[in-house]
Amino acid sequence: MKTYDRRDFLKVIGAAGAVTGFGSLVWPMEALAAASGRVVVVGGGFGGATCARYLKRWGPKLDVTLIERDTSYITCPFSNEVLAGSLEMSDITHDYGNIAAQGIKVVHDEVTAIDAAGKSISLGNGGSMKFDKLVVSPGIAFRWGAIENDQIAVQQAMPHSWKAGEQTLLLRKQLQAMRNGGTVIIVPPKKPFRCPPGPYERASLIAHYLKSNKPKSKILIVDANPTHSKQAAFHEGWKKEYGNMIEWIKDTDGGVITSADPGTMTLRNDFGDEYKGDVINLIPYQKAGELVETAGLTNKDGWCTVDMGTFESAEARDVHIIGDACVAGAMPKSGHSAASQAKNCAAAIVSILAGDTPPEPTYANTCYSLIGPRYGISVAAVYRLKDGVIVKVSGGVSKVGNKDRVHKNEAKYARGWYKSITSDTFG
Amino acid sequence: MSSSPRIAISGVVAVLIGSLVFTQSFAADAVPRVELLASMCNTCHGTNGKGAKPMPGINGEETDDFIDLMQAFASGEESASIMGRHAQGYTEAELKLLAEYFSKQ
Repeated sequence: MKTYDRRDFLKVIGAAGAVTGFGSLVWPMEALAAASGRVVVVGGGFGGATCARYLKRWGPKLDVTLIERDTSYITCPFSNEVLAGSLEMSDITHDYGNIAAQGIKVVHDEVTAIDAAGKSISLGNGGSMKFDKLVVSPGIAFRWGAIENDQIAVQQAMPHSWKAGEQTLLLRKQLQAMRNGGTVIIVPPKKPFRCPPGPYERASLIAHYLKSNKPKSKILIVDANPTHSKQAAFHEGWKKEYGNMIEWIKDTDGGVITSADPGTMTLRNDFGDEYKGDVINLIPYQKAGELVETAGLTNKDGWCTVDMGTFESAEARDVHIIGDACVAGAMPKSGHSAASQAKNCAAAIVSILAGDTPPEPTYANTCYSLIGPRYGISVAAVYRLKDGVIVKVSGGVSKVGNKDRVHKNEAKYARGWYKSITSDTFG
Repeated sequence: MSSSPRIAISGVVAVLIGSLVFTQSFAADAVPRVELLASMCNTCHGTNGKGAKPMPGINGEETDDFIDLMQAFASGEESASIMGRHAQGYTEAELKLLAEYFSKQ
């Protein structure tokens, strides 16, 4: 909190243009305009786009630029519905028109390097751009080689579909071409990874598709982890909706896949056992996006250590890293988490550029998963910063034994959540 | 700065103060804490809490009703999908800040 003395007050009055006309003075909103400087945001997903919008909302005088390689963004949330055939790509694709209309410069280019000391970034077109503050929301990259042949396998034979787009459609085509009685194998990566409940929602919605189209088929989830997100709620839902169609194999039961053979559509685990699938969804092990790794902003585990209040990188001053790429204590790697971090980061940057201290951080996550079109489950939590670490202060997963009505409502709320977050993020 | 323009500006300020009713003290944050708190609600309830069906709008809500409902969610007295889990994460003072903020949206 900054207390205005008489001199500061004169400055605020001056900034508001009150000397030339009283009509333009709106108090206290003009105080919000105090922050000035150039902020460059790299990455136009839930983290980056939300950050750009809230930087402009809270710092209307800031010069905000959003740099994103693609001209539109396909969300991972609800891409499992595209896989299962109940939504189309156009339903989960968003453009940047409304962000540009808000007075944010939107540049479609690739950032090739970050010079933190020189406060400058290099662009794919050969140019460069200076910044006072840089926000990077690079998402994930794949940790190739964690499973033998993973990089070759995912290209055609065993699509990952973990960055929504062409890969989503490729897996959908394979599911549609599969015979009745076929086996679909889903291989979740070892934690941590983007969207912890994602592989299990995927299994659910594929099961929904198979149940009405290819009911003799089976789904195997061959999992490198001992437990999974929303586990009890998923398993209850699977039993109720799909009987024995979905089987989950955990790490110590043979779930740790070590190699893939795309030619024979076979996976091998650490015991040497083989799994043969008609359709295989191989989700690679993960790390922070390439840009931050190249820039030397990742830790030994491949993720970005940040100040969990401001999201400033531990490795570079005035460079903030948000979203899936950063280590954010108890928060899961989700679009909602990224948006929540983006707002804290924006509030911190606006405050710092105004010579003020940032407001006390507060974070939230809400994540719905669909077990079927009318069967939703959820996890929700509020987080706070305690001794420099983000900790959960309330929240939890949907209870087991909930009535059908509760599941039906949660499926409706899942769709409402999508509408809300995408409009808060993309305008 | 020479003293005469300062006096002139002070004169303008004096006129200005006389012409406006300030409801706030002369203390302002670059980003008020309630803005950040409320932005957490926006993710599901729409920017400025305006709602996106079936998520209810939370703007224009009576302050007392807002606090009462959030506390009922937190205690479990009022059943909800996820709002109980969220409501428990905020102090009474924070709920009051949020209630006042959204009542004016």
